[in-house]
Amino acid sequence: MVAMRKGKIKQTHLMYKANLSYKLLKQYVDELISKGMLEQKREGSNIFIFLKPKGQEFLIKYRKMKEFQETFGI
Amino acid sequence: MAPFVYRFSPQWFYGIDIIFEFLSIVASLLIAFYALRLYKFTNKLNHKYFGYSFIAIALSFFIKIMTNLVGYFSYFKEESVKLVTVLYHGFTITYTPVKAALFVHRFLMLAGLFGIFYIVSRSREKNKILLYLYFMTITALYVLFDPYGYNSYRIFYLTTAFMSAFILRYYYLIYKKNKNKKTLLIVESFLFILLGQIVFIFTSVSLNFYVLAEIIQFFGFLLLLYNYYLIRK
Repeated sequence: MVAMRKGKIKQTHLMYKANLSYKLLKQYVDELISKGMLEQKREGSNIFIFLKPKGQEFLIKYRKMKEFQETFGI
Repeated sequence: MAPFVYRFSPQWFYGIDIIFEFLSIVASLLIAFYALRLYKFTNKLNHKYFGYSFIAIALSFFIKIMTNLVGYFSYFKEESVKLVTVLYHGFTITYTPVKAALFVHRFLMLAGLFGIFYIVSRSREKNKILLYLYFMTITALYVLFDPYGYNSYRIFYLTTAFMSAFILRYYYLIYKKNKNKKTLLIVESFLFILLGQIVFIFTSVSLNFYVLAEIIQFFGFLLLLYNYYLIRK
């Protein structure tokens, strides 16, 4: 979802789009931040989630794996 | 005792078939390792078994290359020395390992194809699976009774043809569902692999069928390799 928004999304928007509770969203985002895939930044009164190059790289690999899985029917 | 004649290839094709099979090994291993990488990520057993199936096919080709090399080497030995006793010695030395290698080659190829079929068909009926395993083992074991003859050769390729046909059918069903062009490419790959297995059956009629079968089968693996490249690029 972050990637679809050109690598930047408001935390609240992400919460609504992903249909997650604040607690669960925070849990997922924190995990991805600790893995260096996302970063959180405050801009004015809003908190934004950014996709980092490592996250972008992971997404590309993930899409390829998904494509492989679908193509080979496994 | 009959001389050692594990040669189903015309002389001019010696070595070319090895190149074809080497490239088929490369295609199989690339697919296998990617499936195993996927398994590390997803932890789904299907991905692991799919990877192992392609490793089995790659190993089968490798063993075939080795047995072919023994066959071709003994041919050149016969040609250069032209001594019946040397040929006889060559036969007694190579007989048992080649026989065992042929059994392993056939068993691994059948196991690989069976693995792909098992995963793609999603069939989990124990009776069916046991029946397939039985036929697979019998087909591979037949080589022990008729190691260098055409009977076990024909039965082996008939079984691989049936397995390829089953796999082809399931990939076609998957393609009908997802309409993915890359899945269509896999359908085409297995169509070539199937045709290759059918043509191999006719090697006893003319050795030229062996050449044709090798080319068709190679084209099937080449398409699998191209598909892998399209996904990875």
